[in-house]
Amino acid sequence: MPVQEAISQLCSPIGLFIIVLGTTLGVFVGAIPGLTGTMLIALALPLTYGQDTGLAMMLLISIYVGAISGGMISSTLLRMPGTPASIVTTLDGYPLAKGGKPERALSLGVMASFMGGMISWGFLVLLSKPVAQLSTKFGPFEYFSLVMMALVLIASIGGKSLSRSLFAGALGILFSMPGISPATGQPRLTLGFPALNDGFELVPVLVGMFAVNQILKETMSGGTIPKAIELGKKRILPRWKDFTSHLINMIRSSVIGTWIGILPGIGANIGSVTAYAVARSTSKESEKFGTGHEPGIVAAEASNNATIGGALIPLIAMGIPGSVVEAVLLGALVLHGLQPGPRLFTDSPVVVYTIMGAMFLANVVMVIVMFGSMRFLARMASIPRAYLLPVILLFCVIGSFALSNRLFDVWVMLGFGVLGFLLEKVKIPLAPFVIGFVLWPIAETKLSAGLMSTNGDWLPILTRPISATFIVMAMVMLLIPPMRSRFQRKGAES
Amino acid sequence: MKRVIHGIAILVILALIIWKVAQAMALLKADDSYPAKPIEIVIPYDAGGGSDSFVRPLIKVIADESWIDEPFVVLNQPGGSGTIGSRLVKEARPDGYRILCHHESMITAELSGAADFGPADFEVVAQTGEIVLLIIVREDAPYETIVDLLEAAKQSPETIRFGANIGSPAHFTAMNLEAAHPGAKFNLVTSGGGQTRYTEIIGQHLDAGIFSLAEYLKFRSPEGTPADRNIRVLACLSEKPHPELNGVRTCVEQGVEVTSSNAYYWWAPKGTPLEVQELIASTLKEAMQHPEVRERLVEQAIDPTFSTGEAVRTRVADRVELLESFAAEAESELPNFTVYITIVTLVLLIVVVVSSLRHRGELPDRESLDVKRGILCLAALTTYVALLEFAPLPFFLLSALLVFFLGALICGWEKKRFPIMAEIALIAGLGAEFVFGSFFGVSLP
Repeated sequence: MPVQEAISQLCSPIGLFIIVLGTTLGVFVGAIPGLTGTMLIALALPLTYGQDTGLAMMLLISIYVGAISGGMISSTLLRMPGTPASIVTTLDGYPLAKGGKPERALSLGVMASFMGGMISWGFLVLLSKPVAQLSTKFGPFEYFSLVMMALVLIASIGGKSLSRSLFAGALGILFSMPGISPATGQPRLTLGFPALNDGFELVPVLVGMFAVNQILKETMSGGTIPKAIELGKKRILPRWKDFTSHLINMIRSSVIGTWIGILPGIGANIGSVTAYAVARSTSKESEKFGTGHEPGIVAAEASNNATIGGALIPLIAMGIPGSVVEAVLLGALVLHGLQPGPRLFTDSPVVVYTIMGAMFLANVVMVIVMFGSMRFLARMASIPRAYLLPVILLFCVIGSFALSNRLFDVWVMLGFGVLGFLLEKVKIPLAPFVIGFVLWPIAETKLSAGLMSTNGDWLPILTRPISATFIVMAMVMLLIPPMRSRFQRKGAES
Repeated sequence: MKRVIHGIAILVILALIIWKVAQAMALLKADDSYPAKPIEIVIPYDAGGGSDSFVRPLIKVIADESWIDEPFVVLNQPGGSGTIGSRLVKEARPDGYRILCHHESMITAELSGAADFGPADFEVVAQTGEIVLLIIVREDAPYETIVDLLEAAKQSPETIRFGANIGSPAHFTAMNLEAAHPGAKFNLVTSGGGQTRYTEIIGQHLDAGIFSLAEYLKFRSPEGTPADRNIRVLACLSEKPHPELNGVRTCVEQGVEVTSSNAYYWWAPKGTPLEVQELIASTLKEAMQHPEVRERLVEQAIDPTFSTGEAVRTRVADRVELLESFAAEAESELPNFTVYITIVTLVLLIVVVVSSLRHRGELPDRESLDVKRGILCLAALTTYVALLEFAPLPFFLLSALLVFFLGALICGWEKKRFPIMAEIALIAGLGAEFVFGSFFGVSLP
């Protein structure tokens, strides 16, 4: 029985050790501002080569869960979001902590994170198999349209300016093109470097964009950070009353987080913004939000953890990543010789159940780690950067090198570090870049296969119903932001 | 408390230095008869892939039985359809310490233009293991024999969608089939790995495709599965019917003169001494007969054939000659995506530039960044990587220097932090070499 096999792997001493290790690492890295889960997962990925697939996925998933949860600590105590997912937590977490209740803020956050994780886990278990079966209906054109919709989705929601986001996405696509063309097998855009026959690898690009870029920024800004708010001696564990009084908010925010997570391309930060907005607009005391109001913390933390389970659904069922972290997880599965999709459930059911089980256990471990080491974590958030960043940089070099044992990838990492820094400097968001970079090869392969089977006819993109639906949705999303700003301007004029 | 931490840190550093010295001593003692150090086997695909799963049991048995003084070690160098790893071995010194294991994509990569080198640029040492190829359709497909399929492709050319990646061995086999039944013309559709091909055949996005025996055995659903959810073998491309497939006839038996298979070959850089080649070949031969390897090969549905010397050279020459006759340029009616994407990117760039010129001054929040420090940091990094690539300096020393320099840079050359930073730098440099080198098998630069 695959379920039993997965459970025995998860509960074996090495399995539990990996989950505890991954979750703890994730929480700690998440708690330190500037270090993100994406960075840690990208660094951990090369280390899992040659190791057992189940163990590798357990490590990566538990880091993911830990990092999204750990981010709340620096958001609350330093007003610096530890990870992008916890930006919204600063809105109410910091004021509440500043007002003398840091223990209360963190306690509610951990409780909400746990509930968010568990509710979305339920959706993951229930929905991934039906979605996987549905996806056999998807031919090349459907996949292409779905990927294009994901690209537009992240561009239209992710950044402040639509044109900048679209440009970032297009640039990401452009950088994914050098190498062997997926359709014809010919090398292209290699600029005469044989090393570019394989194009730019995902790991050095990600590590460069997120880690090296961050290190450059921190180096320039001096590496000093403000002193964190200190924890008092008050009770940290939540009480039963806290649970019941926030239950409705937690369930609502978790469901919103899960569904936003399922949408391809957008991740935890959008999920928490949406859930927070909904919590505010349905509240009777909406004016209190942003001043240290408890339901604000609960909504933000429940929803950002809920996006994990949501985003895993399209990843497992169709091989379409739901966020940047998922893109790395997709890379991990492929590196271990597994192709997510409907066959994954029949070919490697153990891996599927291990992924699901790992998310469940990591959530439990996260609560224990967070409550158990809360005071220590609060001090961790203000470690001097001079000690931390150089060592992380060394890990970046090794991580990029270990991928395929060549220094070329380390140069690529450096190059993308500078590129990421420059792009952010001119306010071009990085998320659409990465999503474009990851999704385009899938889109191009599918589109090529589709065009080859119809002898060059593009029409099926619009005539096949599922494909047409995606294209229409993409167009609508592309048109909404300009229309809205136009209406707003008109409203302001009259 | 602080003293205890410092004490532990210094002890760790001492232990690591002792380890390092012991390692250097061991290297000095080694003599210079072949093999004096581990032999690297380059696999031009990912860890866990087909080639990797084939090679690893062999390597394990060779190390366990110690037929040869030094072990074989695996170096995965994936990418570029196998051309990245192949190039690494092609450009290696012909001293027998770097050998490639690669299948017939070595031949087709050159013929399709994906690589500018091929079998002639290597010494072929041996051939081990043969992969049986099959033609697969959906269970309820109207074709009973390979002739039915080819006849359909002749009656209405370019309508039978046949899954084969352009330039891959499967693509050449498809062209071989077309040539054997004059007038038949498939619509070749690129289709990724076995998993994708399977899904597309079940979803009727493909009419037929080439699978390896191992893929077929994995994907085939049990008897009684609805016919629209299962696959069927139309013909086997081997010379003789395969015992695993009871009743399935070969193409030749069905009257279509095509045989095709794929095999793993071991390639050494051009000019590798003959006695080195022979030593490797004889080791591989012994490994292929080991019961443990045999067992794994049965699991992977790979036939345990072996050839070396003149036999393998003729085999490769024959395959090259056969495949060459179909080396038609991969015709592509696909749009030139590169050009389109470049144009779209440029247009968007112009839009961004124009709109930011129009809204100039609306983004007032400028963080104060110390540019000089950033440039120094970048320069240190560039020097570090360049030294790793070109200078024969030890990895731990360079890394420790980098960590220390960056730390000092970030804290603004605060002297009182130097001792702690020196400790961190040494632990990071030596520790990285110890942890990654010994536990994760990463061969650091």
